[in-house]
Amino acid sequence: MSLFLYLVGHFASKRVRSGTALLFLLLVAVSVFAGFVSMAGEQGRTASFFQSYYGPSQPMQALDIGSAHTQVWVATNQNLRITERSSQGIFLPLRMATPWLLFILPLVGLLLASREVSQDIESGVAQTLHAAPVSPVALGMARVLGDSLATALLIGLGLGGAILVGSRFVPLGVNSAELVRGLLLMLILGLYTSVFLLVGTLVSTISRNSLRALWVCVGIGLAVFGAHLMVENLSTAQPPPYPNVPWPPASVNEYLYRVSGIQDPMARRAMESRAPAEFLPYLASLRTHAATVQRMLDARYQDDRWLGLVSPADGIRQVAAELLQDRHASATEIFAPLPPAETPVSIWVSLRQTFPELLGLVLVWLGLFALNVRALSLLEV
Amino acid sequence: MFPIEVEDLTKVYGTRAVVDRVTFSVPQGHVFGLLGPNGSGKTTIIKLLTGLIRPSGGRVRVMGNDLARHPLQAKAALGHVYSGMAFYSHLSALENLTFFGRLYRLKRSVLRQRLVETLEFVGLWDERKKRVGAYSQGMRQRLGIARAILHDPRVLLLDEATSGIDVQGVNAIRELVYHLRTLDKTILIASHQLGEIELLSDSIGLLKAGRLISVGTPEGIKASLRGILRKYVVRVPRPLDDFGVAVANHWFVKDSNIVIAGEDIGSALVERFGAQAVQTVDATLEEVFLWMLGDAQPHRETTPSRGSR
Repeated sequence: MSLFLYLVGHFASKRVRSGTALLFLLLVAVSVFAGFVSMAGEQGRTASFFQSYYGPSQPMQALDIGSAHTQVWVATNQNLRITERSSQGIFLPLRMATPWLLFILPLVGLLLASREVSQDIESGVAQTLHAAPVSPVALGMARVLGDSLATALLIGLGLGGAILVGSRFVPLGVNSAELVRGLLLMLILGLYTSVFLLVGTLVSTISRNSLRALWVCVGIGLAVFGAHLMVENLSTAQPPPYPNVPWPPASVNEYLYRVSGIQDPMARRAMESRAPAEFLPYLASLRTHAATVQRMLDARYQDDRWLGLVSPADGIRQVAAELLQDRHASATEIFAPLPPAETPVSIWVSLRQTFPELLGLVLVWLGLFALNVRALSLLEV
Repeated sequence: MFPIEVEDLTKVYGTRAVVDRVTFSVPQGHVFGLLGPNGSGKTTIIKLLTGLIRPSGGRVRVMGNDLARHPLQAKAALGHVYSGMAFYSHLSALENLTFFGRLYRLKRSVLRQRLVETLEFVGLWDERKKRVGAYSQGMRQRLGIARAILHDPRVLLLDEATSGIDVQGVNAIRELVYHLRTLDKTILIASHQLGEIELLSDSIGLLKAGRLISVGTPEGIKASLRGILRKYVVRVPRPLDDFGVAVANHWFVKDSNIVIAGEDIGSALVERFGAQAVQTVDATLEEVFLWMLGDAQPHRETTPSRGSR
């Protein structure tokens, strides 16, 4: 056992000490850092959006959240639902960086692993290794585990470093729940990357030639990206026909116009008692509309999850979206009243929600791990 | 039980048998030389012995351990030096040897002691902290020797160990063989260099196209061909062709005036050149092997400086 752990450490340190590892770390860090830049840009865009469409910015918090006329105001002013999600803490930079990471991590993982075994065969080190009295299965397992651990470390360092540096420029309020979700996301990204490391190692073992393995791995990386493009196009080709928000009757419209002119919240509240008779039925129709939109969103979310079978990046993206509590954060305009303020769901609920994707990820990892061990144990050098 | 026992060992790639039912054994403390031209299957046999490739048939036993059934025990008894030995180039010699020492499950205290002994033996102690990537080919080969004997193996396999290295490296390998012989270790040397094999080996196996065509001591092999292979030195001032001597199909003419033949042609030569000019002598081991490898087919070998042909 101690020899096995020693071998795991050896292969992990070999990966970390290789020059390409630095490139890997930098790519991860730059991606997350780009997330910060995007975050600042996104906040600016949101502010200007409100500025241009609604005149002076009216922060939602300043209105009476949940009051009837606020709900109507939000619905009729075509508010983008995504702007209502939490934009605090480490979630937003991660949210911005994750789509990039889902392509950068596999590609770099594949490229790194493509040399893993073939380089040892070409240099002759494999002969010395395989002539030693160590079981080829243990050698294969140690190689794969060591590489995976090193990759997880590199991803952690890249993400952590970028967040540390980025937080000096963009204020981040991090709470413990977010930190746990962030760490869990890193772990899942590590497992996801490890899947591609395993694919790269398998290609490297079978091809026995670094250059040939490199080309095959580039092809696999492009296929992953191509599958994502296909899925994205499929997903957006026919957007669900979200119904338009019911237009208010003239009396309600006039009432809302008067309400929006009153700045004093107390005076606005006093106005509610003088709402026209059509106001409450209209509000009920808005709620029905909101429920319809919510059902359509949920149905689309479930449909999109099936596409994860074709595009692994999109499958993991669903997991990330759930963990970052960002499930519906697509650029879909939802003309519906805001739901009541949501309390964040527990992390177990999030994990349960994405159980099929996580199970799939773990099963694919185990399958590839077994294949690698088998291929390495049959390797003749 | 012999330290190395090979029985009907066969390796087939596609339809081609690279090693074809090879059988031999090497007694304790003996140096066995596996001799053959390039592509005759020497390296494949060594790889089969070290478990780097799996045999298509036959059996290998190292110190009584069947390599297929107890590979770890068999491998633990083996040391392996091959041409162009490779190491992790980003690690130092000391780090490399420490890593491989751990693979052989050496205890830390034993490993420390063996590191000093082996690196001093190959003359690399002062260079131990240098990255192996900065080593010369000869230094790497010497480091390879250190690695092969680090775990004090009972059996050592040398595969073309002296090819492409400097004089110092060649000398280190010879010293290693002499040293290990005194320690009663069993050694198998595979090489295409007859001089090397003849110098170091107690017995020799000659490989041809994957088959072991002859096994024995150099004298034994030579003696076994006495009466089958004949060598004549014809003392005449010019090449034999100048005298209009037709070289028959079964003749092997060397240096123009040395004739090696599979049948008795002494009387014909005496008749042509006279008894004073023709002398019958024993063929050298090299000539015996060349004749064997040539399968008694017509073969000519000339010395360029003589410019005889």
